[in-house]
Amino acid sequence: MKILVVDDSKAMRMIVIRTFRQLGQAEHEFVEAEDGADGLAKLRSEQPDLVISDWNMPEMTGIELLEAARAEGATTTFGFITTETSTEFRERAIAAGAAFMLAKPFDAVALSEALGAVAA
Amino acid sequence: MLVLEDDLTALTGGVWEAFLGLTAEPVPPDDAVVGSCYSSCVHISGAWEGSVNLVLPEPLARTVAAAMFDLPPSDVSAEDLTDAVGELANIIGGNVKGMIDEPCELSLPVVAAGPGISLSIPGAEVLQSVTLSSGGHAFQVAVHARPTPRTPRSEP
Repeated sequence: MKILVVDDSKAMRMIVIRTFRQLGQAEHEFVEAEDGADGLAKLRSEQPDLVISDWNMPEMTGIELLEAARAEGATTTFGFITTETSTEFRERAIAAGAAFMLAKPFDAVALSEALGAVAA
Repeated sequence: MLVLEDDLTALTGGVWEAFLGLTAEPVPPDDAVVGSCYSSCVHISGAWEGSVNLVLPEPLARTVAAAMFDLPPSDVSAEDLTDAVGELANIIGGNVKGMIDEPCELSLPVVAAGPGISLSIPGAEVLQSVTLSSGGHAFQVAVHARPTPRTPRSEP
């Protein structure tokens, strides 16, 4: 599976990828993007199977990325890992087509449960 | 908004443990951060206005960046330090924002580095401040509140 990890923090992108490896899922191909605009460009060029994105980023936010992707017809599974987990933000994410929303800080168990819910 | 000292201590300790695999224990506020340090700040705006500020001594900043990047501390670059310390403020600030039961937005983090940094936010008051220690290094987390039309600043 090709996974696009979108976060303006390089450290966070590394933590997300490392958490997949902790789950024994090192076989995935990971592509990184440093903001929503970069994420949208790589969504188009890389055609990932899964997008995991932060919410607050420069250039283009995560929700703007999701909304732009859906407007272009992309149906890629999309999940957020963010500090923005209030009911207001969660409802907006789900309405835009997000499959899950994980709160920072997260751990391997939480990521596994979120991915399991998507796969179910 | 009321931010209890215990809440801020537990929140920060939880971030330290979950994200860094490190402990952070409360210590007396007299154990101030001294020497070269990193300070990161995020602003919360909307129904509640304020900021969350994290101040770490440089050796601890290097330790947390090394943990986040999974690198030896000596291999951590200045860019890595800024990234890691900013992200920590983002996470702690986001969780503080989660305590507010009204619509608010969180800014991107701002990071400063240098000797004896003291952050002041004009018009804001320190609502809560905690000092913790990790690996023998004291660090501080403070929540600053700015008066809004709905939460006027208290008179002296």
